[in-house]
Order: sequence, then C-alpha cells, then structure tokens
Amino acid sequence: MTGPDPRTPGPAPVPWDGPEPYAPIGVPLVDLLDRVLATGVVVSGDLVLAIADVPLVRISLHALLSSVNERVPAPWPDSGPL
Amino acid sequence: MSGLPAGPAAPALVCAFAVTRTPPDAAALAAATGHEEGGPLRVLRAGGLCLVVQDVPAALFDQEALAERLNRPGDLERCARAHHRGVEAAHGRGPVVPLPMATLYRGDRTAERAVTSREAVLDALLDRLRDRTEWAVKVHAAEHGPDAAAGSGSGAGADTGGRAYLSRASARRRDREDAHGRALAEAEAVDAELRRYAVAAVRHRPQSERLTGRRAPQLLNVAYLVDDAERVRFTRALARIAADGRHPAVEVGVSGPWIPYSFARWDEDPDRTGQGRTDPDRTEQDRTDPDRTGQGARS
Repeated sequence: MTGPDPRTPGPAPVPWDGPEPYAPIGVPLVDLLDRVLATGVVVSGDLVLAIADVPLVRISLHALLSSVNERVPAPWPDSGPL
Repeated sequence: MSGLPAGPAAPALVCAFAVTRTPPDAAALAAATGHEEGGPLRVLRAGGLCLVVQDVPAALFDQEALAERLNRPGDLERCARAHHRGVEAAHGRGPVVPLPMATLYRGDRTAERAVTSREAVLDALLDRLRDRTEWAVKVHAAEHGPDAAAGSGSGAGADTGGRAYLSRASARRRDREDAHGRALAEAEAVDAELRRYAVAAVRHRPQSERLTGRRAPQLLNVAYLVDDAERVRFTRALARIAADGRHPAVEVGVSGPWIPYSFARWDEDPDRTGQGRTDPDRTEQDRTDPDRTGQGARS
C-alpha cells in the first residue's frame, strides 16, 4: 500500500514509526488521520459538495473513537483537530 | 447532488488529491491506486499548476453516501489511506500541496477553476513546502511515574490511623502532580530543542489514551517542518533526546518523514482569498520569499 515509493528520487517520504527509532513500518493510522483530516488547503469556493467541512469530520472521528471505546469522548471534542 | 455533467453511464464526481507544479510521472500515476472504487488517477491542468484527481462514483461519494461511509471506522481508514496514496502519487516530482481528504468536485471544470482562482496562494505554498518534510513527534508522560509512586506507601505498617492514611494519600497526590509538572516541563524542553532544527511547527491536539493505546497521557503532538538540508540534524537531535536520559519523565515517539500535510494550509479562513488573496503578510511576496518561517509556527 504505502511502502517506500520507488519512484521518488532520493529519500522517499515514507512515514516511519515504532519503538525502534525510525524503523519503517508503514503509515500509522492515528498520525495519518491527524493529517488528512486536520490539514490540507480547503479550496472550497467551487466545491460542489461540502465534504471537507468540519462537521462531517467530527462525526467520523466520533465513529472511529466509539469503535475503540464508546464511553470516551473524541479527543477533538468541539473544534476538530486544530 | 444534481446536475451532474454529462459523463459515462454512471454519474461520477471528481475527487482531488493534491496540487503540484510539475505533472507527476505518468507511469507512476498509472501504477498508483486512489480510491478503490474509482477510476485511474489523472492530471488536470489548472493555469500553471497541476491537480491530481480521480473519477469516483457519485453513488458512493455524494455527500450522503460519503457521510455514512465515513462514519464507519473501516471505511474511514480505507478512505484516509486512499487519499494518502493519491497524495503520494502526486508527489514524485517536486512539492505537493495536499488537499483535504474527500475534496470532491462535480466535474473537471469546477476543479480546475477552484485551483486557478487560488493559483498565487497555492504557488506560494508550493515554494514553502519544496525540499521539506514533516515529522510527527508525540511526547507522552513516562509510563512508570504514578504507578510506581502508588505502591510506595508500603513501609507504613505502624501507621494505620485515618490521619496517616490521609497524609499518605495527599503525599501521593502531590507526587503525581509533581511528576506531571515535570513531564510537562520536559515535553516543552523537547519541543524547544526540536524547533531549533525546524522551519516551523504546528501543534495538533494530543491524542486520547484510547487512540494511542497507552496509559500515560500524551502531552504534546507536534508536527515539525524540516528542511531536507537539516533533516540529519533533526533526526540526530531526536536520537539524542531518546538516548541521553535528560528527560526521564517523558517518552518521545516519532513518525516521518511525511509529505508536509500539516503545513499545507493558510491560516484561519481560506475563503478570504475571494477578495483579500489571503493574508497580506504572506502572499504579497510569495515568489520572492519562500522561506516565511513564521507561518506555521504557532501553538
């Protein structure tokens, strides 16, 4: 899936993680969610769909977390990830 | 969801992944898979920029369907990983500005327009992100702290009165608070050290213990933007922090290098671009000053 990218010249930007410092083990999901949900340029002007809006993201995180443990509130309770 | 443009039999939406300046290698794009339910990745020209997109079936990706799917953890994960693959595929030849997951347009034309209308800002971001990667650093309180302290009242066999109990309890609480304070201070010290090698830093919210699977709280969840030229010094600093024992109250975890997602944004309200062309202090000289270091450095 997201192994080292053979196309990239030079060091491939493959996320690493693990107790062993810098051992590549693929993309850690929590870190990925921090990134794909919290960031990126919102080019919303001509967006047909409001998918990039925060409310949806919040709902999703709730779902994600409740599957882990339903008693626990989302770590980003109100404003979404920064 | 109406008025889909004329297309193949099944109505499709255009899912956008990332903006680049140079078109990604065609073979590389062809080899990558975005959303499994969609078509091949392809490139749209938008002014001087490129947009990597994929056609996806409207039945699965319109607002309602997507909202429902993203509420299922398994689908959320698949979607996040698909998005990441699309962004990675766009990245092959130079910097990318990742778009948020599930950025969907009704057709190529609207997607292109969205990009061209913000070309200056996107251009500035591409400059800023060139030859830089992101590193995710999370600092947790060390696992041993409070627990070890909790077992330590055992020598008090003689002291069985209520008062002794209370004083032991409050001593334990003090210990815990002290430990927490120490851990926080050390976390800040780690952050200060790492910032020396970073162009910018952004703090994400600390992840909950349920997410991290640890018992100790996460104190810091920071993304650093690091120049390729500084990367070795940055990782060396990380290794030093882990090894030299100066921060016994915390544990430092890292993942990276990442495509710089956390820095691919302009602050606050992107819609201001409509008239103001975003922040004056940032975009005015976007061509001349790619190194505006202050931009992401807030906490």
